[in-house]
Amino acid sequence: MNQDFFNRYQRQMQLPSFGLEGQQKLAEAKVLVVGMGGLGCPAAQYLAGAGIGKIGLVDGDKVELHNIHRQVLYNSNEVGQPKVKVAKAKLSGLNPSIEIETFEEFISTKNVLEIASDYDIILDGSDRFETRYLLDSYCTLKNKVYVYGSVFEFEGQVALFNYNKNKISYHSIFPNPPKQSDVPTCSENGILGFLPSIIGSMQALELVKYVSHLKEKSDFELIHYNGLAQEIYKTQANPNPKFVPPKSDQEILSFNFDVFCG
Amino acid sequence: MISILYFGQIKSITSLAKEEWSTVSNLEELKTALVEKYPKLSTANFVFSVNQKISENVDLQDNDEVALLPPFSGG
Repeated sequence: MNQDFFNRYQRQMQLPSFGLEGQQKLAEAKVLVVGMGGLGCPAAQYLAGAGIGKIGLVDGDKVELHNIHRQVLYNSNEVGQPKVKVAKAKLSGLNPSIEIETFEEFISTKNVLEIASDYDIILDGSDRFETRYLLDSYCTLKNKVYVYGSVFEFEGQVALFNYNKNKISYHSIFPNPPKQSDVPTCSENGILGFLPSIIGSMQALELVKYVSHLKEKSDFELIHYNGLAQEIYKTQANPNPKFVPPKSDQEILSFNFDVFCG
Repeated sequence: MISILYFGQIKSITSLAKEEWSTVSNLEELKTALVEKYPKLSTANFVFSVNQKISENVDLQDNDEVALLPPFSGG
C-alpha cells in the first residue's frame, strides 16, 4: 500500500465502520459484472471507484445511441464500439490500480464455467430471465454470491442471493420463470435513466457492504424500490424446501435455460 | 380487513397500488378471490409476501399485509 492508496480511498476509509480493514477486503474481492447496460454501468463504475481488486466485464453488445441516456459511461462518439472495450478504458482511467478483464460475448451455458471461474461474486446487470436463472444456478453450485438487480418501468428489485447461512437463491424465491414475452424489457416498455442507475448503485452498495462486512448479519432480504412513489418495500424469505440446487457442472451445461424460461 | 399491495406488472393488471380486502381465512382463498376480480392474474407470474415474508399456503388474519411480487427482467 502506497500513499496513493491512502489518498484515493481516504474518504471511505474515514468511515469508522469501514476503515483500512474494509478497504483491504475490497482490494481482495473479484467481481464479475454480467451485462454492461443500465445496471452494469453504474455498478461497475462505483465498484471500480471503491477499489474492488479485480472486475470482469461481460457483454457482447456495442454502444448504441439509445443506450446513452441511461448508460452515461459511454460517449456519443463511441456508438458502434464494443461496450466492454469502451468501459475498460474508462474504468482503467477512473482507477488504474485495479485489474479489469473483459469478455466481449454474451454469457451462456457454453462459456459461464470458463468466464466466471476466477470470480467470487457475480453482479447481474443482464436483462433476460435465462441469464438470471443461469447465473443463480451457477452461483448456487459454486457457492458464489449472486447480486441480483432488475427494473420494470419505475420500479426495481435488488437482493444478494446465496450469501448467508440460509443460502436463499433466486430460484427458490421465483421457482417458476415467467415467459420472457410476458414481462416487458426496457427496450419494449421504456425506462428513464435514473431508475437503473439507482438500482445498479444499490447492487454495488449491497455488494460492498457484504464484502467489507458492513452488512448486518441479517437474514435474506429482497428490496423492492419504487421510484415514482419513492418507497421501499422489503421482504424476507425462508429456504424453499422444494428447491433442488444443481449438483454438478454437467447439470448446468446440459440445462436448457431458454426453454425453461419459455 | 387485509391490505393488499401490487407491484410491477401486477399493478398494471389491477390498476391499483394498494387496496383493502375483507379478511379471508388463507392465501389460497385470497388468490381465488383476486383472480375472480382480476382474471388476468390467473396467468400472471408472482409470489406472495405476507407481512414482509415470502409465503405459500399460510392462514391470514385481520390486519395482515399481503404483497403480490412479480419478478422483473429489465436491466
